[in-house]
Amino acid sequence: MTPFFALLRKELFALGVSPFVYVLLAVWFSLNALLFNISIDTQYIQADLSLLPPYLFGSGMLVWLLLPIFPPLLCLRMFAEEHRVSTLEPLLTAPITDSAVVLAKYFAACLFFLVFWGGLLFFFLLLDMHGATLDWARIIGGFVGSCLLSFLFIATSLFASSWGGNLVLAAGGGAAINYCMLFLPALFQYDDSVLGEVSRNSHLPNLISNGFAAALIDSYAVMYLVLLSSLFLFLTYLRLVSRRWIP
Amino acid sequence: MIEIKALSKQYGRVLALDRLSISVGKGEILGLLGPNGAGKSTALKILSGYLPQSSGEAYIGGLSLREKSLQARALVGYLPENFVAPNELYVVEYLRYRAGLKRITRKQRTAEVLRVMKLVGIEQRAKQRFDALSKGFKQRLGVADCLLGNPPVLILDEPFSGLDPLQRQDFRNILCGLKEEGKAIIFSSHVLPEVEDIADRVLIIHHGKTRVAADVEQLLCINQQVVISTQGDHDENLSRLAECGDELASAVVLRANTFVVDIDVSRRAQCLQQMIEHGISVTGYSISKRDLEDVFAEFVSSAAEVG
Repeated sequence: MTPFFALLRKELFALGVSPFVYVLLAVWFSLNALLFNISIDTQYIQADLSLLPPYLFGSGMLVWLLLPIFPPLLCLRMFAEEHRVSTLEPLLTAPITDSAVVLAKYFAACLFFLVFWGGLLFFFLLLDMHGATLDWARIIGGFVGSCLLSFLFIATSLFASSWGGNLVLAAGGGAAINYCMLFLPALFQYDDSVLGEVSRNSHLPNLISNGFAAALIDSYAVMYLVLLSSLFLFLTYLRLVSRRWIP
Repeated sequence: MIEIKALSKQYGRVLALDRLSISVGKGEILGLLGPNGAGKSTALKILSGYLPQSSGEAYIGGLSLREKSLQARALVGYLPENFVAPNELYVVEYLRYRAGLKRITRKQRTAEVLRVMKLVGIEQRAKQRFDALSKGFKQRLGVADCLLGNPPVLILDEPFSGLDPLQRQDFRNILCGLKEEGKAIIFSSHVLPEVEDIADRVLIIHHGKTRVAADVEQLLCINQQVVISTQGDHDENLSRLAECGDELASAVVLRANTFVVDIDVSRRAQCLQQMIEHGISVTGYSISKRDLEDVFAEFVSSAAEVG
């Protein structure tokens, strides 16, 4: 486990000292603060504060427009940048398994992304401190759902980052996969066929808004997100290990 | 410690390595030479476990890199051609991180990092970031990284590139010290005098094929010529040389009364005796000095002619 934790620590440290990551955090929190400000000013939210969590953690358009972009930008340096500046070669020739490399990088990005979502919890704590009555079940549910969705997007972003040293391809590819996963099922969700059924069951906004953000943590949704994340991690692993397979 | 058997590597249609076979034992340094694109880096990348071979076998400490890559990699310290470390880490942090990757326990890590920093002389730069280091110190950091965990095998790709003469001298001493410790070292280089100084054996490859693999001493003796200086009448000496037998008859005039001729090592004393018997007044009988650059140029150019 030593090589895994050594790499995990290094990745967390690298994220923690990267100015680019702080720019991402600043943009993330500014836009979410703006959304919070706008939402809290609307009359129907003021009338029922339990409607607020889904706006920040689930069904808000800002969430869906922003979320697919941030993980690819965060994961940009993990493989693509390392490949570009040639630091990947010393890493992959060290006695560490390829699966440990993928998992250490993935968990580092996931842990760091908790800061992105954890910051939003601060808004609710602020409301709570000012005496607002909040539905914490919905808040925590929305938080868990958003985190799981972000972890899926981190897995896809790692996969895109493993394609090579092209940063544009890594960021663009990761964002493209994420947007496709978000919006492609929406095209078929009113279809009566099997495709429609699959689309309805895999439509991520539905899973988050109607499930997690409504304080319903459905094992189907959890498993779906975890398995899909595992699939992309496995593809990343295959991409990495294929270097040793393909003569 | 290092054994390669008929190793080949193909990139698409390009054959980068063609049935390369070498072995390097404990306390031995092998210099890998060849022009750009000869396949040196490819061979070293395969040995480091970074690239797979297309065919053939490579063993580190008896472990197949194909079947037991992880265990074999644990025995290797590898310095890539353009060594780069992450900029966000200080030298000491980077080495601690690498020590962790190499399964050195947390308790031993500080002592081990200190040991390798002292060994390569970078303890004064412990609190500097990679991009603040000079080229020489960057290379030293790469070597320090290689030495973490005291691996028995070192694979160094162009370790002398970009170093000034003083740094080269230091680096040479470091490598010789490691050889004394019994490490098997294989390195590629374009700096032939350095190879000549520190390598026990050299392998010259060209277009992926082995041109020659021999001890440095042996290699420098190949095609060595004898320079004969005489006194007296030049033409008379030349005609007397022709009477001395086939070897001396083929002497080429370098300048008046000085001749150059190829004579096998075993025959040199006899030839001198013959010249004296034929009344040639020999004032000098020396072996022309060759260096690795001459040998390298000879083998590579002959390969180019054949190719």
